Amino acid sequence: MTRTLVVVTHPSPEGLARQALVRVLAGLERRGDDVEVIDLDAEAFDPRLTLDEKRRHLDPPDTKPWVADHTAALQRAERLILVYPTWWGGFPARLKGWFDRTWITGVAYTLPEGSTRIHAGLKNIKRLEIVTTHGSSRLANTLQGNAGKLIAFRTLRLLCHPLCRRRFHAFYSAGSANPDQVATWLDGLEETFAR
Amino acid sequence: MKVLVVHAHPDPESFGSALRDAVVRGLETADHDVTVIDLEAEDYQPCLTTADYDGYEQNGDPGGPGHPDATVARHIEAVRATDALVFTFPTFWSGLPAVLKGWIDRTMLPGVSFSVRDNGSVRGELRNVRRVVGVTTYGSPRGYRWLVGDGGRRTIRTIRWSCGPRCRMRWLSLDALDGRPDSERGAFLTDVEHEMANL
Repeated sequence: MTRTLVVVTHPSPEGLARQALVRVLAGLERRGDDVEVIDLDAEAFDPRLTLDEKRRHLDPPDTKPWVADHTAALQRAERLILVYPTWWGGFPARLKGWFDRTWITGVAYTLPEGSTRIHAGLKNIKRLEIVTTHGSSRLANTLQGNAGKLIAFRTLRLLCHPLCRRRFHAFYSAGSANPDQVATWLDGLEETFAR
Repeated sequence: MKVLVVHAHPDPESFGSALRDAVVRGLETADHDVTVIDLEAEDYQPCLTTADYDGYEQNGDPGGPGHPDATVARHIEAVRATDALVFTFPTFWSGLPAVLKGWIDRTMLPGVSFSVRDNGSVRGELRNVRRVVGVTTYGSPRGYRWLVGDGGRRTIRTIRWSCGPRCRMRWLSLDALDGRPDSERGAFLTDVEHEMANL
């Protein structure tokens, strides 16, 4: 039974990313994963790194109890699935700030004395997956450089298991898509996550 | 030129805030008309609200009633009036701090920075902007960025692509910040001030 953490953000209950979440969870349930969901909007998660967090960013995790629930969930997970709309090529602020505030020293990475290189701290995560929707086309997003995908699959991936696998499940041109195209994508998503 | 400086740093006494001051000094030396939006000082709320999302297509419409949030409306006016955009921020996890990413998400709306034509193609609307500048610091060394890429720079470059074809982008950055002696930090401040005086 895979311990799976799903982190979702979308400001509207009707957002396509929220519809995707329902289907991802349905698929995971069929597969029998042990699923935990962090809904950043339901929690009204404040993504702004505080002055105190910035000044004490190398202090150990036990001095930052306000993120303990999130760091514990990260440390339990074998599989991490991020569900969000892509805006300006990247994560919504709420999700970017979740990385800024909860992927902290002593959890996501360690910085041994005298080292200039950070060491991976989330080797428990063996699968890192993105489910995201884009208003614009695949071509436009490729030209813009997919900053969100880049950050997750390079920078954050380096903090996970050395053989951590990556999967990218994307929907493009959501602004001009017809309902059939959306339905086809959502059906495929559920089947993918049920496997 | 009218220059809009958007600054994001949680610590007003940090090197990042000294960088903002160097930017402003350089710009004022050259008699530019400078406006600073200090997101942390404004206690800026960077998440799209449900109302933001529901009004996404209309809130930035130049002929419409304007954005319902007074802060966002003021920022939109500043973007429309400016000749140059300068962003000063620390790089967190290879990207923009959330507060700056959210400023882009909430301010750069259809009708403000882009429009979508009937055939679905996107047109940049920041035709007034002739310079886009990113000023940032990285905790990591240069080799790390070569390995993992620079998501923050890509995001700012996306803003550049919403400007006219003659807009120029500049990127001023200092890596491996934590290990730098004061002399090297000071030299970078001087460079930034000089670059801004010759924008």
